[in-house]
Amino acid sequence: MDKKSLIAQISKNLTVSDSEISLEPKKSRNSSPQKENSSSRTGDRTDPPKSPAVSKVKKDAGAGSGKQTALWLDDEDRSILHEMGMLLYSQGIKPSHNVVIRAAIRLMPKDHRFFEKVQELASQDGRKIRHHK
Amino acid sequence: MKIALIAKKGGVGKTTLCVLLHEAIKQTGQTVAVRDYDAQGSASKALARIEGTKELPGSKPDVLLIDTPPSLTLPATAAAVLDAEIILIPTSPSPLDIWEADEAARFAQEKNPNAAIRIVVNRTKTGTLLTDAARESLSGTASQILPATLADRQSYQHVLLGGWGALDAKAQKELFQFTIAVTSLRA
Repeated sequence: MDKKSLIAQISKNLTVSDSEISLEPKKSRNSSPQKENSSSRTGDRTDPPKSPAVSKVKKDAGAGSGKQTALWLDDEDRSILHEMGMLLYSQGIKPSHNVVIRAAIRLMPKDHRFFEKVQELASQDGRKIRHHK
Repeated sequence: MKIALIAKKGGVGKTTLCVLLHEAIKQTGQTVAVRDYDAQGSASKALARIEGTKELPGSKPDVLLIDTPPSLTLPATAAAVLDAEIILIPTSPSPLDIWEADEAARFAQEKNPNAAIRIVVNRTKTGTLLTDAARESLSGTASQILPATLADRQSYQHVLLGGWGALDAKAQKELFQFTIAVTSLRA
């Protein structure tokens, strides 16, 4: 096999694999294929996004789709949010907790630092400590 | 396609394999990125040197490679295993490494039974007693072994410094064949 054939084989494998990924929810959720899924289930927002394909369908639904979410924040979190809001204000951008959190979750590193911080915060979670007492 | 590289032990070639796969897939014109869960950040350092691609927020590469710390107890390893469709467990032909690889395979199977899990025999030396013994030893376990192996080549280490161009023709061919074996797990 020459180099070109090897490269073609890898590309073929990856292409086939991609189509399989998009079909996976069909098997696990006992529903119709993705194409049918997007047309027949438009407006159905009851199921949580459990697979990449479902997330994609939700994304395609438009920028207006979303849900209200309640978060528990401690005093330090609130102070950081306030600080970031002030930073936005200083740049002439209308501050809100919403934009700060949405920007932060898109910027956060997906590596060991994230896991370490989660563990640290989980150990300091005021609600948990009170609950255990 | 998400491919996680896990191992209980350090020094079995997770990061090198991650960078090698990154370079091979890049050659095919497909998009590839690396998510570096290892606190040592070795993959990130190598990628910075060879102008490789780290995963960016919101990016959707054709292949995402997840490098993990050498442990099965850290949450980073569990997260990688849960997220991946293909889980590779590199091991050297050393019996000590093989026993740990088998344990890692069982860990991956327990956490994500839907993933394709394969032990990768790395740094093989053709015709040596140790390599033959490794294959024999692994065939006695429930874990599945990837049929393709990577030989013990200096040029694979050079990839960390010079990228794809550091590989000789033999190594490039072997790496492409290895990549076909990996990518065909879900094809």
